[in-house]
This record gives sequence, C-alpha cells and structure tokens, in this order.
Amino acid sequence: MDILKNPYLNIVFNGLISGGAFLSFVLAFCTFTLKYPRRSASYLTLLCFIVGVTQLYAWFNLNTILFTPIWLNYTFVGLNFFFGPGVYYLYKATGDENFNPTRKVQWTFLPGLAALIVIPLVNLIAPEAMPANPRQYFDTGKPSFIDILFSIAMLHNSGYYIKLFLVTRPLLKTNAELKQNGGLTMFLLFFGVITLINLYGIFAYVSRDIRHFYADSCIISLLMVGFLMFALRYPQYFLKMEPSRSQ
Amino acid sequence: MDILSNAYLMVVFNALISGGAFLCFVLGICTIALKYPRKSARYLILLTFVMGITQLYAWFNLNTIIFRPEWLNYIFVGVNFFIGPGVYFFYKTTADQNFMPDVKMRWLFAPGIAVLILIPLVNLIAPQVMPTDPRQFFYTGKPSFIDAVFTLALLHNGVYYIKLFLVTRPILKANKEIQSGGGLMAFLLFFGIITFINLYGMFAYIVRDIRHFYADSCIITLLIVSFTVFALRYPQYFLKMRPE
Repeated sequence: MDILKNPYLNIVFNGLISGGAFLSFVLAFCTFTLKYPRRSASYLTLLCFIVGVTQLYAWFNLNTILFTPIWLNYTFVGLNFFFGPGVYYLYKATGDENFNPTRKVQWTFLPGLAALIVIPLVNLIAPEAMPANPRQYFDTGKPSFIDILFSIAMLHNSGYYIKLFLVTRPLLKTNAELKQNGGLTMFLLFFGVITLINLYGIFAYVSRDIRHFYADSCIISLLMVGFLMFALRYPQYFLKMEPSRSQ
Repeated sequence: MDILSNAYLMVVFNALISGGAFLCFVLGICTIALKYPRKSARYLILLTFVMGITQLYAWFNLNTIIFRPEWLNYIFVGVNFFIGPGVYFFYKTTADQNFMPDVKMRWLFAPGIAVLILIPLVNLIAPQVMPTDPRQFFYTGKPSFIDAVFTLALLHNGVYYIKLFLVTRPILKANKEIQSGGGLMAFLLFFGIITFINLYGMFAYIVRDIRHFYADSCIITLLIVSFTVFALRYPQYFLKMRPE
C-alpha cells in the first residue's frame, strides 16, 4: 500500500506535519516573548523556529508546492545545519544558568550561515545545477548537490549529538539527585529521540523512499508536543516566575 | 473576490484552522499532564478540547469532509454549549484558588450533554430532518433544527459572558493592585475577544455567509495562540512549580 495515495493517511500526514509546523512557530514566538527568559531561551527560540521551517517545507513537499526562484525551495537545508549546535548549547544552557556563549560558540553556527548563502549563489551562477523539484533524488535516483549538502547537515548534527552524549552522560550519571528525579532518564530519552530523527532522515536517503522523510516529520511533530508537555509539566526547567537576582 | 475560490487564501484558512485545532488538542493534553494542576486546569482541559473539536469541524467543513451517519457531522453543536459555563468557571477558578464547584454548577453543563444526546436521537427517530450537509443553510437559505440549536448555543454562551462581565468587572475595578498590574485590562481584552467571537458567529448566520464562520475560526486560533503566549509569559497564573 502506498501511504501517499491513501487519502486518510495523507490527511494524517498533512495534519501532523502542518500542525507540527504551526506549533513550532507558536512556541518560537512564545519563547521569544517570555517575560523573564532563562539563558537557554535564545537557543529554544532558534530551534523552534528551525523545526517550524523544516516542517513547513516538508508540508510544501507533501503537497507539491514549489517556488520560483528555485533556491526558495531549499532554505531549510541551510537552517538544518543549526540543529546540532542549537541542541548542544540548549542542553548546556539549560543545565548551567551561568553558561556564557563565547566567540567559539558563535562560530559553530557558521556552516549553516554559509549554506544559506551558497544555495542562492549557486542558483545565480549555475542555475542548471539546481534541482527544479526537491524530490528529484527520490523520483529519479539522481542526487543533486542539495542532497549532498543536506546529508552533510545531518552528519554534522550527528557529530554534535555524539559530543552531547559523551560530554553530558558521565556528568549526569555521577549526580545521584538527577538519577533519582529522572533527569538522567529524561536526558537519555531526549538524546535517543533526536538521534533517531537524524538517523531516520539518513535512512530515508539510503532507502530512497520519501515517505520515511514525511514519517520523520511526523515524529518531529510528536517530539515538539512532548517538549511542550514537558515544559509545562516541569516549568522550573524553562520558565521563570520572577527575575533572578542577577538581572 | 470569493476568498474560498482563491487558492492562496484557502491555504491560509486551512493552515490557521487546522493549526488551531492541533494547538488546542496539544494544550488539552499538556494540561491533563500537568504535575501540579491548579483548580482551573479542569476547565482549561474542557475548553481546549471543545475549541479543538469546533476547529476540527470547521476544517472538515472547509474541506467538504462529511460523515455518515449524519449526526457525526454535528458533535460540535452539543459541545459548544460547554463554552459559556466553561469560560465563566475557568475565570472564577483562575481568580480564586479557593473556589469550590458545587452540584448546581454541574447542572450548568446539562444543556450541552442533552444536545449531545438529542442530535443522534433525532437522527435515529426522524432522519429526514437531519441536514446531509452542515452548510445547507448557507447554500439554500433553509435553516434546519441544527442551525436553530447552534444559534441557541451562541446565545446561551452570550448570557454567560454578560454574567462574567457584570460579576467580575466591579470586583476587579475595586482592586487597585489588579488595576495597576494590568489585570483589569487583561480581563477586558479577554472578555472583548470572546464576546466578539460569539457575536461574529451570529453575524455569519444573519448575513448567511459561511466565510465569516471560517474567519471566526481563524480568530479563535489567534485567541488560542495569544493564550499560549500569555500562559508561558506569566506562568504564575496557570502553572505551579510545586504542590501547595
């Protein structure tokens, strides 16, 4: 059964992907307008916004909505490079309120910025290299430079997730309190889900089946729902009732 | 210009209405999952689910998704009766943590439950009176009993909003702290928007133009978004860090 030809499953995919995009943009706006933002809020706003854009493009793709000039169809590729450092520093800033972003931290976002500039430039200089349809690889099996760039983005993000796991897990494991209140389980769960999302995206490329990409988007939507649920259930991690003494 | 035949505006309507439904259901689940729920949480859960169902049906309607048996197309009519008392008691429990719901209060939800039972019963006993398309009135000008019941729901909710305004405004106005903290302004804004949504729904019926209903749904979505922004910006009103 081709799930994209099944109207009911198509509605479910559409509902989850568009709903996820909507929720992500709302959350980005909410974290942007927090009265007393924590140090992690800026990373949270960035991540929610990127998730929103990615989901929106998945929805455009699912409904064959294509733009001209062609580079407008690939804005999500550059933004996806921000995921890895975004998640890594969100975790660090959430764990440590005194975390101070250094110049080195800002440099980690450079590959994403570069990709955001390179794609429109390629479109301008060598428009024949731009795939007219983002699903070209999945339809014809011929990868474009966009597919290569997107695969690099996912591998680049994986590097950050591995770093996050290697750096943070030993620290949390030695903390008896975090072990007891479920902090370690939460970390492992969060780490497991984002790694799965990334690996699943790579698997979609390897198996050349675009439905796995749509399913991946649906999992991202559920992750956003899970995140909001967590943020409201345990407001002490992301929300503040009043300004801290240092502010 | 007919906005429903404009492909771009249809995308905007679809996105806002389906996004609003999604957000409502997500907020409902999040409120159920709160670790230390406030007394207002149960009304919030009720309201988010009712709004979610209403938005979902608006989306079904916009995309001509019609169910059989016919009564399945009108679940939103019965649940809409819950909005009036839901909003009223949500406001009371938010303002007063010691507010105790009594038996009389539960009866206020009876009209909604009655309608939820009545519509399938009518479908069973007299299926010929059930409109096959929920948009029938807007296309033919012939109102069905569903339109009458839904108008009644809007009026019923209107009464609760007036009651809310009459009871709460003088109390808030007399409280200098609330006035200086912007509480009175927030109340008036909230009151103004829900009343406007209700009046706009009636206006859609009067002018017999279904596009106003869809626009009303879009406004509901923006209200829910504003509520989420408010709830996260001022977590002290709806969230608790620890049990009291």
